[in-house]
Amino acid sequence: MKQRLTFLKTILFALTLISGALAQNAAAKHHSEFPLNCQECHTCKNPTFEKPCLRITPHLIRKGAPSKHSLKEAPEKITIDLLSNKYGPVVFSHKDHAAMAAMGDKCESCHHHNPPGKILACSSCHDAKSNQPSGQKPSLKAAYHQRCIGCHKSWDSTWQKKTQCETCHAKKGSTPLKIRKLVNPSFPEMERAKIPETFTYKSDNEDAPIVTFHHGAHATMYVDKCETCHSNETCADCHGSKVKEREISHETCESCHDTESEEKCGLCHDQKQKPSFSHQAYGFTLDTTHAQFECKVCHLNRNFDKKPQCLNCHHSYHFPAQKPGKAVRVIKKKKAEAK
Amino acid sequence: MNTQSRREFLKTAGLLGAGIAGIKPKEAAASPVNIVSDDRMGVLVDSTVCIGCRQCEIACKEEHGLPVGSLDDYMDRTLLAEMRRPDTTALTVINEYPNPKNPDQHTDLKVQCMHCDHPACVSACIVGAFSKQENGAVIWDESRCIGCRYCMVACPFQVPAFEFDKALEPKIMKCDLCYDNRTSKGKLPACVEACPQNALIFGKRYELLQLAHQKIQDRPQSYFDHIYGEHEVGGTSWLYLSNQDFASLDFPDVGTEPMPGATEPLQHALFKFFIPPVALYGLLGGIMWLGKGNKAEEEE
Repeated sequence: MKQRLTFLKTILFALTLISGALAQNAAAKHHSEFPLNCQECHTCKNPTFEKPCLRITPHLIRKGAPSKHSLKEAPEKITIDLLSNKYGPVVFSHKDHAAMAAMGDKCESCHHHNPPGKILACSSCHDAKSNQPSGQKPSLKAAYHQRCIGCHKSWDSTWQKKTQCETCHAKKGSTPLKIRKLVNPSFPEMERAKIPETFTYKSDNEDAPIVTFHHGAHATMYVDKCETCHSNETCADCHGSKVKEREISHETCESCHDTESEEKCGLCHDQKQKPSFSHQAYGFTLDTTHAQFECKVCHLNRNFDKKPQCLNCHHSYHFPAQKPGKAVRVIKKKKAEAK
Repeated sequence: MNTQSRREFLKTAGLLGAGIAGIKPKEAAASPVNIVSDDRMGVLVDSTVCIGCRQCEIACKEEHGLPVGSLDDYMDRTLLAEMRRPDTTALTVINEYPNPKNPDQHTDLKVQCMHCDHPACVSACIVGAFSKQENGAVIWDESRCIGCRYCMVACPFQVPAFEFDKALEPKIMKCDLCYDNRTSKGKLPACVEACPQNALIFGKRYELLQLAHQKIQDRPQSYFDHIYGEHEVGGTSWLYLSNQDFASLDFPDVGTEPMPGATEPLQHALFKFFIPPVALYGLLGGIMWLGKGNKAEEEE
């Protein structure tokens, strides 16, 4: 009886093993059966196991994968303490960088080969040890250095006496330094308050050569995000020792302003610097109540040529004798400005 | 076809002769090791990534038993303002140049032996002390060198350095791609291992070229569209990517023809098949014969 039991047990064990292996085989389909474009990873037409002819850096869906994520998900700070035996940890202000990246290469400027889905950390692809000579993927240390030092290379601007490893790598035991101090002191924090107010340009228009651009008003009132206008910027364009001089043309403004019709020239072109737009100049005081609303609430379809009608919102019978009169339309207040 | 058969004939004749004399054919061939293998290795220097930290200089000195000095001295960046060359105390150096794409930064460039595919030093060396190994390394054999310094004259990049200050057994000093202790054993060269930026990539030369072309294609705004070393002097094992024209980085314009191309056939033809002694004795014999003729005329 006992012998029979052991025999049965062995059979059961063998069956489990076999079925397990079968199940695994069924699950692991060869990736060539997936709807993928072979050329994204392989350079040749018929890759084999011996000669896979893999691309050195596969062009996985490089653009767009991280764009489904919002800044809110981004971690505030990332502490890198790989070399904790030699240096103190490096504190990387991730969220600040992520916010700025919106004006440049977006999240992809660092998360460059992120497959769709979860945003991966550098260490999920870059190994601590470089995989030279077989592959050309930088080691984790090199990946960090390449990303950071590309911008934070301040020692080079003047042949200073010392390199500045300790700017990021605080000496063991001391408090981590703020990398922010490295960038050009004229743009220490890039707060909204420090946004340049007014730019004046000289155009080749003979009658009215001066073009005034009220940058501050655009940044605070008309446009909700910097990246609406500022795309494809590099860090050094603003944080460098010299702020990049931009070429301004009709194309710069035409996404919002009509630059074709001749009667509209006067909006920007004049013989002298133009004052900033004010509702007051057009006989309307933008009081605190009205300032809470989005522009399109009064300027229907954002048509700024047409004078807004008070009667769109206020009851004609009581208004304007009885201010504000009975509201005929319930208006949502615009979101509090993110600071 | 004709030349081939002639060559074949000469080869067999040579082998036979060597066999008769009791010498192995390998030894009979006096020309040094000069292999251009398809799988030869190389190093790709991406100077747009290099930060000029000089860790490669330190690693190189440690690997080759050269005095390193104080590590703090390597933090001093004032000496980068002047161009340096590799010498007997440093087989590789970092130089710094203005960066036209970003005035706040500089372009840093590592300089060392380029390990040419058709090295002029190997060709010029009259005792076969220089050799091009199968993995691409151009190395120097101390036991054969007679100190003639022809290699220094021949090198298009002026790399080999001579220990002039040593009266006894002075050496030719140059980058050897860490052949003895590292690359011949499948390890990385010391500088490549030390680079914190992976600005140096060690790999098969043809793969590095693919990678370099791909880098230029992916980010054309960051690179000057040229790989220095791909075709220069017939190709070199060290390949360079840069953000600006290589002429402004003190890279010599050496053309695309291998350096030994012009001199070697002539030189080798002269010394092969006993041409010089035969020519010399032929000339002397001719003069004698002419003189004899004159004498005979005078006597008549």
